[in-house]
Amino acid sequence: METSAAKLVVQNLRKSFRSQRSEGSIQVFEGISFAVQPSEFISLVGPSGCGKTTFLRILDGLIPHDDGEILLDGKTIIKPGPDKGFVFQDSSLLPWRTVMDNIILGLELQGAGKREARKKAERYIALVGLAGFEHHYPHELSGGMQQRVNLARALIVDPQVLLMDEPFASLDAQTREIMQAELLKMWNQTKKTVIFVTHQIEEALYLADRVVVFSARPASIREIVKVGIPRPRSLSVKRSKEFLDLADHVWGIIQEEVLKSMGREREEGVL
Amino acid sequence: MKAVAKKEPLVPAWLRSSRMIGACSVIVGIAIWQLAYEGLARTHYYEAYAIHHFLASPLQVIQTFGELYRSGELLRHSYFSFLEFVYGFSLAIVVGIPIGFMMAAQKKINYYLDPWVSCIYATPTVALAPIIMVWFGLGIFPNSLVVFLGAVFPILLNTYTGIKSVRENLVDVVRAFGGSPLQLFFKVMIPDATPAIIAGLRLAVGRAVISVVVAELFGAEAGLGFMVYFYSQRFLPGPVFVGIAVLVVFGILSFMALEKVQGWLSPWYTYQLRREVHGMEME
Amino acid sequence: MNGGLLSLYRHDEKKIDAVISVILGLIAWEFVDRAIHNPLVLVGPGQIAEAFLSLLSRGAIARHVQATFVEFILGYGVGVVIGIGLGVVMALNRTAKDILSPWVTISYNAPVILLAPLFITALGLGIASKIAIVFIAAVFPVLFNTYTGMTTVDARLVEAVRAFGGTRGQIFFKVTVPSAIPLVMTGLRLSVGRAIIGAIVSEFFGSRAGIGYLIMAASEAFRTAEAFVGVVLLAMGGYATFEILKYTERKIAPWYDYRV
Repeated sequence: METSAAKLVVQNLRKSFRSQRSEGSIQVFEGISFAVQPSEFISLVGPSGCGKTTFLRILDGLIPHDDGEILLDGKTIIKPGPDKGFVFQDSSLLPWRTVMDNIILGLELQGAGKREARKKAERYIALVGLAGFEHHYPHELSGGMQQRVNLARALIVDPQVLLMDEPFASLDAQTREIMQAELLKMWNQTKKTVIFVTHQIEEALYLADRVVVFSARPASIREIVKVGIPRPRSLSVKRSKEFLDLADHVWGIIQEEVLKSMGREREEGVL
Repeated sequence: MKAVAKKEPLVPAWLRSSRMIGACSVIVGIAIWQLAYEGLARTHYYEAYAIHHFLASPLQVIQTFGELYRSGELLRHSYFSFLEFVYGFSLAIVVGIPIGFMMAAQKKINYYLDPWVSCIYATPTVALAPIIMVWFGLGIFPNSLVVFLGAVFPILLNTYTGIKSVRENLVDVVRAFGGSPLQLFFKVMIPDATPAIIAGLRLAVGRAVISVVVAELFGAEAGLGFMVYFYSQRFLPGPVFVGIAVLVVFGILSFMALEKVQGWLSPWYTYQLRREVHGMEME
Repeated sequence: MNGGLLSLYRHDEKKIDAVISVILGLIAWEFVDRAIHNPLVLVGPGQIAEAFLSLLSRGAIARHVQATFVEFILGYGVGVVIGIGLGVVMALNRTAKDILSPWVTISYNAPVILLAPLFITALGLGIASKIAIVFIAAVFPVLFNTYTGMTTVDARLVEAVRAFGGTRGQIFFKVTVPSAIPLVMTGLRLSVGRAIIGAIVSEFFGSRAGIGYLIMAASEAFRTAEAFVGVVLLAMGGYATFEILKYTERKIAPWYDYRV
């Protein structure tokens, strides 16, 4: 593994939670290691409940980990901050703020003046295609538009890495496809390093340079799948043989893991 | 298919609207009250049961209102009640909101205060009124204290609930962008808890009004409660109804005022799910 | 041994803290009382306990509690029955709703407690006037919440039952009634507080027995400890009723999310 030039390095990450049922603890991650290159787009998939979201929150510093190291540009990540941009799942916009004021939140928290922040925001509002909606409240927007705000809010702090937690999960299929295509366009313009968590294999493959497949809990990396499809990718790529073969392959791994975890749960008497 | 002849409705649509029926209901109800009273006055029951000692007709109530207003009595009593309400209610806000917040922020404070708060909340605080009179005598201060006791707990508990039910994901957003605890407080906790706190204030208005009048019933030289008590002891029911009417108007006005404050402080909320206050904003 | 105690504490931290807080509070209260030593200004827990025992041995507690209890139960019971009944009628019939709603709105927001002196003049110092006040205090929250509960049923649920060929009666009993129960119970709980205030305040005005009478008579005679006995009895009564209702609520609507 080439770690010197890497943007983000995860080394032997471990994490366990205290069990609520018994005195013991539940192991969530068992020594996860991988490196992300600058401007690389990584997707993260795995069986549900394997801890994808937890992993992303650890990367951001929102929750602490037990053991191992996370390095961003060679520096250890200890707490959340503007060097990382987090795109949350739905309904994480502050309902009492307009689109504009939601987008500048991160700058404001860093102590920027509202006026200059708003000026800067205009560019990002245009980038995510929300011009004309600056003064709307979140409840006045559709789900897709809310996620555009969510994205702009993360981009405006100019983060070193963009962490995206199933941002399109609650959108309908068509909106989702449009958002995927637009995300790629924006990524192409901004050249951010992206870690994108999703449960949709097809979405993961379409967006990513490499897809990291997690095993069932305790999660470790089962496989890192390289997506060699050239960019720019149109939506029709999703029906190409190369794409479908990759999807089949990833699907097979995840199914295996799901069956494994079901078997274990039955043994433990959870099911 | 059978063709059905469309029948002309007996009552036109504008007359059948809810508002129209409601207005008619009030007018007809008051008229029945007036007529029944006059009818009753002609029977021997009127004297035998001394009905004029506890019942007044709508016309008499209006007449009494005019008399009390002209003599300046009504304004004077309203003024005293209003003062007690304002003093007690303001104190309840100043005390209730910070304590409610501290209980939500600090587990230990909650654990230690909770038994006392739930205990006093379950007690009808107006029952303390006679004891407070023994301690502090008659006047505006002890009455305001009764108002304070009645109003503080709904405010405190709703502040607690409001802060406790601040949405976790919004807290995460501010944390993810590196916000400080102070920023977290002002940019998420306060705005998200505001609707619940205002619901608590609305709940407290009703209790405060009852506290004002109960405190005045026996511990006052002035105030609407005093006025009601004074005249009812002299078997004059008119002022009792006037007092109630004034308080109903006051209660509704304060409700509307708080609604305005709500719309002004959190305009976004009107459209949000009313999750925190469902079933709590009544009374 | 020590570790065992510590883990016990962690497990029941809240309850143990509550007990500690109450004990410390009572000790502090008693201490301040003895320092000031003026029964007119402050009475301590000890004196209240003493007054309680003395009242108990004279049979006064039983008499007063019984009087207030009967007023409460009768007034509240009738209030609940009529409140639910009228609430259902208003929910089912638009005309009835239109006719009654202005009266309900006014009465709901009015301090009906002020009618107490008139009721006492009309019905006398006995129990009837108190029952009437308790009834009028209790009926409107029940009515209002029953109506609201029955008219804010999730339209999708109604549609689902209709889609499976449900009749109007089935919709009423299988959807409307169950979804209204939590709000009806909220109304019942709100009414308890109002009903108790109604009973106590009308006893303040004129009565021969009851906890309100006890508080009033004791205060007028400057026997503050006895007045506090009355207040403590009320607190316990209010708390008990509240808990009973909460328990019932969870029994008849266990599916409801009570966290709000």
